Amino acid sequence: MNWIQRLWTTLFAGRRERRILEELAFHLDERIAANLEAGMTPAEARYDAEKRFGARSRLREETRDVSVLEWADTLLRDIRLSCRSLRRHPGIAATIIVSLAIGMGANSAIFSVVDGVLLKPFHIVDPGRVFALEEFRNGVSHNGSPARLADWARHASSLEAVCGFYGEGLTMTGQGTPERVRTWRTIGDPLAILGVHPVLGRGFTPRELQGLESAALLDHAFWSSRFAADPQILGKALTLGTRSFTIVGVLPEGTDYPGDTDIVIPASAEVQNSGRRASFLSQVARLKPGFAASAAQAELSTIAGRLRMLYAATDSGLEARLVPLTESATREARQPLLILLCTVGFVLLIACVNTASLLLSRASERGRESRVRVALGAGTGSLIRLYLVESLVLAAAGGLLGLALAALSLDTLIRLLPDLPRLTAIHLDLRVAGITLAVALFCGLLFGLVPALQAARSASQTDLADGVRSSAGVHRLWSRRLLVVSQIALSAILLVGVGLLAKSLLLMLRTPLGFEPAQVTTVQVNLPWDTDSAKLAAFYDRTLEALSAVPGVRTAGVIDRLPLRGGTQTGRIEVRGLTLSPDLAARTVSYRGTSEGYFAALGIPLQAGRLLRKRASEQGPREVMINDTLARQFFPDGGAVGRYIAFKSSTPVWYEVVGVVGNTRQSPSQTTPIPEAFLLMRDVYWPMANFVLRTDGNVDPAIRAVMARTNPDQVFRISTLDRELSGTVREPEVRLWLMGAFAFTALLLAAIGMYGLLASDVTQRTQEIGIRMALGADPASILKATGRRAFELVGAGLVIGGLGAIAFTRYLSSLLYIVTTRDVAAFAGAAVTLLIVAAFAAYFPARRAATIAPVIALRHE
Amino acid sequence: MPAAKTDILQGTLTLLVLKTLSRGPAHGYAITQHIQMVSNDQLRVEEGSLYPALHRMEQEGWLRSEWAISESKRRARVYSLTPDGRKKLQDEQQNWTRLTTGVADVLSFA
Repeated sequence: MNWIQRLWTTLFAGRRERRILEELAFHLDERIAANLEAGMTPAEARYDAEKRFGARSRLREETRDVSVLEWADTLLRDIRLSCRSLRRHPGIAATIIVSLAIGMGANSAIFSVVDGVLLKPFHIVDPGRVFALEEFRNGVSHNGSPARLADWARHASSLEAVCGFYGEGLTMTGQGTPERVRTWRTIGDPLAILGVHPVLGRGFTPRELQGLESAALLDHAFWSSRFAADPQILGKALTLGTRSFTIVGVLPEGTDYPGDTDIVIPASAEVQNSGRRASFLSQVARLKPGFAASAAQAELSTIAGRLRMLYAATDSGLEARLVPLTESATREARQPLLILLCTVGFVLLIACVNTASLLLSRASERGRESRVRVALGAGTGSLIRLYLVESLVLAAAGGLLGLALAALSLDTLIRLLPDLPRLTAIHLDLRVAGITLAVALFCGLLFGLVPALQAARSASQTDLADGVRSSAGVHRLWSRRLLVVSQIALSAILLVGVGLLAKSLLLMLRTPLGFEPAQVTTVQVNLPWDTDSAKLAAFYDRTLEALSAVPGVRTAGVIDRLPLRGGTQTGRIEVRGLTLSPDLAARTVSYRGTSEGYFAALGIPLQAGRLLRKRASEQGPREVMINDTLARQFFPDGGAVGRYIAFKSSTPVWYEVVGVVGNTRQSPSQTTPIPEAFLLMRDVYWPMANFVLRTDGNVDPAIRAVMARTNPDQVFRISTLDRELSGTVREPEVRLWLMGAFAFTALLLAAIGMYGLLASDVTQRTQEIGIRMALGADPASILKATGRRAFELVGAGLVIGGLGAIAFTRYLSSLLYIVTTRDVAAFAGAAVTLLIVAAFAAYFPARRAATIAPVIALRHE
Repeated sequence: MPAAKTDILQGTLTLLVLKTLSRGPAHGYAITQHIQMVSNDQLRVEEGSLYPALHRMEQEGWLRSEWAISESKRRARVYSLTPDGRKKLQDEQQNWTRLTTGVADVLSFA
């Protein structure tokens, strides 16, 4: 019999049973009639007829062949029964389903992100054989160099292909308005790594791979969107930056490694020939078939050992590691995502504990029902089954509703999550749905088992009378107390985490910026790295002049990188006529390219001396401005202005310190100001910059017009300083909001759990309280007693949660600025929050206990 | 009560039911009566196992059944052979002959 028939017979079991019963009745009646005719008494006739049917057990056993999947039948019946009994308690059922749905929904939404970003393999051929080849020097990760890349490729017999790449943003001109494109510059054959063939055109020739002839492969999405999937595109030339590249092919659709790429171009021959000291390549390797990753790793370690000896000057301390591609590509996203997953896991756990607690309280109310069932012949097993089915029904409902919630919220979540790699891989697919439902059913078993066992235990007591206080009741209350304590503990851990994130964000926001971000317009430009330095200086001067002339622009300046967006270049300095202490001589000083208008535009105060002066050519005295910190550290006795400093090199260039300005923050996480020096753009080669303009009102159209007129081939982006900087606080902010929302949910669930426990505690003690009151206890003492019970629970939960938080929050440390994971305020805040919530949860049951009239209490039950 | 009759050997019930129905449609009671009568009361169908067997055979596709009115003017489920059932009957009959001649040979040899 196939499964469709089985299903059919199971679903229509009722009809089949009726038919069999009718047939059997007919048969019996015929037999009885025959027996009567043969002269039996009616009693004998019936007895004989029934006897001929054989043992009843036999009948049942044989019928089982027919009533296949009898258990499924029973299951359906149990499910119907559960639904009916849940419908009788809609409040509890709804509470459970909604809290589970929130838990499950949060989990499946976050899990689909984790799955898409961290777990799903890249869309390349045989992704299991492709690894990132990461280099470390003395344990510190660093990028590869073309020379070493060639060594890996030449010596590693276990690798089929090795490729190095770096991302480069280039300006595409000659195709209408200039446009910024993202390129993947490669050394080695990228197609051998990806294992794909171009859908149009061909791959790179050996000469093209070496950068000797120009060639470009287009990403499928870029080809479709920018060139309308034009099949005639092959052979056309693209002008990118200062060079021209011939389009030779188009990558297959869906190629998602390394992602965020429009065009793949072999690196230029000069770059490919850069020396062993260079460090700018990300490296990937494809294993030969039949080689295990461990074997390849062993081989690479051996080669690294040889390189360490051969090239002591550049390769000392060198190590190479093969890292799974997804892990390597998502390294920075990994920890925050896993923490988020952990958080929602906690929320789900709390929801489960809550459900178990509610079901437990229902089990105690249903003690009588269970005992009646047992008395009527239900086995302990079937009773446990009934309870489990009920919790599974709840879990499944919660899981389905949760999936719906996740599906609805996933888009918002993706939009909220800042700068995740592989966003396109995130989907709420069957895999996620399957895992969610599996988790739901597992949770159902988890939180259903305790109440089921309790019910079975209490049912085995034979008295049908209720009201007799059984030891099982006390036991049950203990289980519930444990559950509530664990809820509070879990909430406490989450709250401490949120407290840490909140404090970190707060401190970050409160640390002075050192500048005034309001009313500053920014114009971001990116010139090619091979722009001639004289041309670059001319470009900055010309643009600055043109922008200053725009009506509404009060002050205009330029800076290589905006504050809070990190530094650009660093070095060590010397001071003319001064022998620095070894500590100062070794100190890293950050230096930036700027112009005199920058300080006024951003409102950075000049503390001493004067601003930089524009210099029209390479010749002439060179000037530098330093920040307050550099002045204090290197010239503690004052008098920095007028001294000469140089950045250490074989041919030091001396700069006169002309002024001292206030500190500005370089990065969001920076707690103590760092020494900085400001040089003219002309003295610092840096082709990416931001013009900063303090303006009156909106002058964007005028700026756009000026930029287009003065630099027609230049891509630029107009924004405001506020908007540019909001990104730096956005990530910790979003993280805090997400964690906060989850912790709030957890807290709510814990409060519900505690309220439920205390309320049923008071109900169970009504009689006792009544007696106490009758014997003269005053309401205040009753109130106190109930309150004390609540705070015992909270206290226990807080102690356990505090210990748990100490264990768990260290994983948070990478997300924290300024604060440490042992921050007292965060722990205290969590404790106070929980105490307040506990007070609310305890207040209503306690007040009810205190206002119980003794007479009613004594009559209770 | 008659002396203990031979209960039908496991597995032969199918053969007997198919053979009985090859004469024409019949309800369950009639099938037991027929087997008992034709075997001169030597064979007796244990009625409890007849109906599960009938249902199983129907699901195998050897029988089909429908409601009909019995001689006693009551609704009864009447079973008849399908073409598949006829084929099954032939197979079963051959099997049975092979088995019985085999057993007879062994017995006569000793």
